[in-house]
Amino acid sequence: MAWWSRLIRRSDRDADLEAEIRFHLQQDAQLRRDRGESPEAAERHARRDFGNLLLIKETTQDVWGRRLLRDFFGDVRFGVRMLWRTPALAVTAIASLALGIGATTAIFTVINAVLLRPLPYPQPDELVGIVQRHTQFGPELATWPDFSDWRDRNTMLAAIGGAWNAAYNLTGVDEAERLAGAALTPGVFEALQVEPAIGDRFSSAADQDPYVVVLGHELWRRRFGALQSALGRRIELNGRLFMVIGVMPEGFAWPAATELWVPFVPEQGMNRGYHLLQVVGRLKAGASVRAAQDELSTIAAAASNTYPATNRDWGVDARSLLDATVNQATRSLWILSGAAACLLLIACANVASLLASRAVARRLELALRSALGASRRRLLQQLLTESLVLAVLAAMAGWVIAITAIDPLLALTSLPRSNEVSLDARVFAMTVFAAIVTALAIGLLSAWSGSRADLRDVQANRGSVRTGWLRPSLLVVEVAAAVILLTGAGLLIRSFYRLNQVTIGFDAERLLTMRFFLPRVTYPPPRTVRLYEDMIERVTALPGTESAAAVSAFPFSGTTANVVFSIPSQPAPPAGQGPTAAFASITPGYFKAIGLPVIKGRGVEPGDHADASFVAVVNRAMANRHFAGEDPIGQTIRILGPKPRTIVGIVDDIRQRGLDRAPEPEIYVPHAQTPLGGMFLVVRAKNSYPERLIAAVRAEIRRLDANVPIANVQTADELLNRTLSSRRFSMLLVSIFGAIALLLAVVGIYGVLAYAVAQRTTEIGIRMALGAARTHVLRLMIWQGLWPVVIGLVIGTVAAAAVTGVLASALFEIRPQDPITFTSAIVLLLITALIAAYLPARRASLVDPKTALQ
Amino acid sequence: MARHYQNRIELLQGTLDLLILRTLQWGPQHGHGIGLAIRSGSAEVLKVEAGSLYPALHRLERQGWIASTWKITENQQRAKYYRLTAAGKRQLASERSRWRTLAGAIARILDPA
Repeated sequence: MAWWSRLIRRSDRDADLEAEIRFHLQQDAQLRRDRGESPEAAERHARRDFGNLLLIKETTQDVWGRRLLRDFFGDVRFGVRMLWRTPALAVTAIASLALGIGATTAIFTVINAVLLRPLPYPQPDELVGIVQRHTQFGPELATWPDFSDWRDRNTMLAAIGGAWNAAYNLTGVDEAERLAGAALTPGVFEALQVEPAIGDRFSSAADQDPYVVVLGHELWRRRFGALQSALGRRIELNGRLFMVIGVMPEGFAWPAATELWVPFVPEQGMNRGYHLLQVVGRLKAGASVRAAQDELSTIAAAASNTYPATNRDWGVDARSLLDATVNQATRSLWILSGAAACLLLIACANVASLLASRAVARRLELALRSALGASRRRLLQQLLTESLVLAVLAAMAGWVIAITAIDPLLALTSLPRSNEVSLDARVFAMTVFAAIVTALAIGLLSAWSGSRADLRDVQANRGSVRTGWLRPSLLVVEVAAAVILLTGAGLLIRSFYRLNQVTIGFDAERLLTMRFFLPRVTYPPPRTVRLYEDMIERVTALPGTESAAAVSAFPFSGTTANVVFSIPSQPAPPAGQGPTAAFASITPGYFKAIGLPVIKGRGVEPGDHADASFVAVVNRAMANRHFAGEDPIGQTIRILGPKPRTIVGIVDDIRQRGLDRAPEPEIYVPHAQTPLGGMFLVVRAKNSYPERLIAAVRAEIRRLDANVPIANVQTADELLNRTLSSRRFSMLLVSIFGAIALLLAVVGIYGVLAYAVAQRTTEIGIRMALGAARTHVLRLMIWQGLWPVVIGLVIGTVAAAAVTGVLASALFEIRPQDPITFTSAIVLLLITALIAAYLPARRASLVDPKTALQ
Repeated sequence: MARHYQNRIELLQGTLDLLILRTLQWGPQHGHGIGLAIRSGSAEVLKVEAGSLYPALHRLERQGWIASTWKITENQQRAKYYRLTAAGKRQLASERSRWRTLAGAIARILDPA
């Protein structure tokens, strides 16, 4: 039966029952008249004898079992009407809940995409991410020879492949564009089991033409109009022609954010010291990650024995690809979801408290309906339906908030998989779930205070005492949760501030960096040195350049290498336990180019060439740790090679590995005396737009040597920002949540007190008539609003102290129990509470006893 | 108040159904008439509340033991008449024998011979 015909039949039955009852009453009245009663009395008595008309009707309709639904629609209508009649309350309640639900939804959307959804590959559980791990410095990309060992010797993996991330300059198609791409070794497509949507991919055959490219779907749409004819077209990437042979399916981006893929061609310089490959493998059926890890470790141990110089401290680390991908983000996302849940809790407490006050105001209505025969269950059902109406409206608004907030939110962060973020059924289910929980929580709480009312109590204006504890306790919850959010936000803000206050040690503005790898075979050391010298000379001559230099490991680039050194004048440590220091090979002018001051002695100069006496410059940390109380200048140090070097200068410290890592001892040597192929070119621009120099610099380098690939062109600011981005993300979000929490707390405190003032007007009038001073009333009322806040502050502080521990890893130079943060959060809440309490309290103190007592 | 009514229905459940079915054995009757018939049939001992009667009638109708039609009474009023269905007759028979067994059993316990 269609639903509408059911509805019609139901209304028929209702009319039937109505008529049946009417007939009963008429018959009864008739009998009574026949017995001699007056017509009015007969009617009245028939009515009285019949009993509670409405209830009998409802009980009878119950028999047909459709009452719940009908009641529900009635209640929804009623609920909407009630909200419409109190728009201020409705808007406040919906807005609070919408913020809570919106925040929860937004965070869950991200969590869902990043942590919960399986990776978009077939049988994603079989995929593993493999990295090399240095016992001291942690995970690193794999080197080509080590990757080859794994590939050739493992028995657990059905396929294994590696990707070398690189930036590609797309030219020859309208406007030039810099694209993130990757060179893929054979095995990547096989491991991921993804094939191009259109065309072909490159194969693992030895005769594979290296100058072919597979495009990402989005790139294909953006730059090639999604035309089939893109296949076979030749495009220029980094100055070389590549033929487009395929287009990957929509959404494919491995490694993250890459848009085009070319065959990987091993070069001479890719030795066991050059970590470049991101590796993915697919487990054979039945093989476990654990077993693969064990096997790869054995292979790595063999390499350590065979190649101690490069592989001594290197192991291998295989994890499920999902873990390996989202590793960093997991913790901060769970922290954020905790914060969002806190916010939702506050919003719920707030709205429950608002509704409770209305429920108290509606006690007369509820008591009346109860007296007229509405069952308690029925009243509860009505209140729950009303809060459901509220929650559903809020959820819709929250959904809109989430949709609008997500993109700006993601723009702030460098989360893995952020390209996969989208609203799906699971997110929708989560929003619905949040709405239902919210509706239940606030409905039950507000019903608690309303549905027990007895008509006589209400009429006698009694019974308010019984519900008096509810709103203050909700306020306690609200304040406690707000303390947690505010301290969390405070800790993150202070960490971030500290981090930004950190002297990075050099001037990161106006700096452009790019990376080069010169293979040793085609570029023997003298040629390498000369090429970089020429490069620097040409780039410096550009009109927009202030200075230029080269360095083997630019700060924050993740390329810092540590080397073992020894100081001949000091007692030698046992073999194999020599001290290590960060190491960088630099060209003359590097310190000047990045603005790193030389504290003592001199920097690297043009005179420090291969035939001159070998020199080194150390940083302050090095001088303090290894030359305590002595002057390092003039001392001898041995590093990389047999020739001893004389220390000629001391420079200031740089936080080489990241802002949050303390400076380490560091040794700088002249590039001419330690020629390395892989270097960063560092260019300081004259104006504050270093990126405008890119084209000119690139052209100069192409003119110098067209075969030199340029990689990772970025400004120092970009590098710096990336190290801060995840922190900024958490900090901003938690701060926003904290601000909302504060706002909601104000609403809550104000509401509780305004209600109390309204209720106690008569009492206040009596007090004042009996001679209480206005200031006394003011104090009394403020205290009434404040005592739940104080309890909430105490509970919240204890809870926050217990909870902020989870933030420890996200903090910088701040302890999770930082007293300043805690005090500030408490004082901030207290002041806010005072202001929120003052207004209604003042109104109370201005009560005119005469009016109040009438 | 609500609980008051519901208790009464539960108390009379079965018994009231039996009485209604038995009353309808005399021929179709409307709700008010059924109430009166039970009252007079029991010599004014049993007074059926409307709050029990109408839910019971509708329940019996839903179970298919009685059926209803609208008819015009002698006083030219529209009234809803209930009549026993075939299933209702069977139900009455079985209920009746069950009631006799039950009543006899209770009587034996209360007044052992």
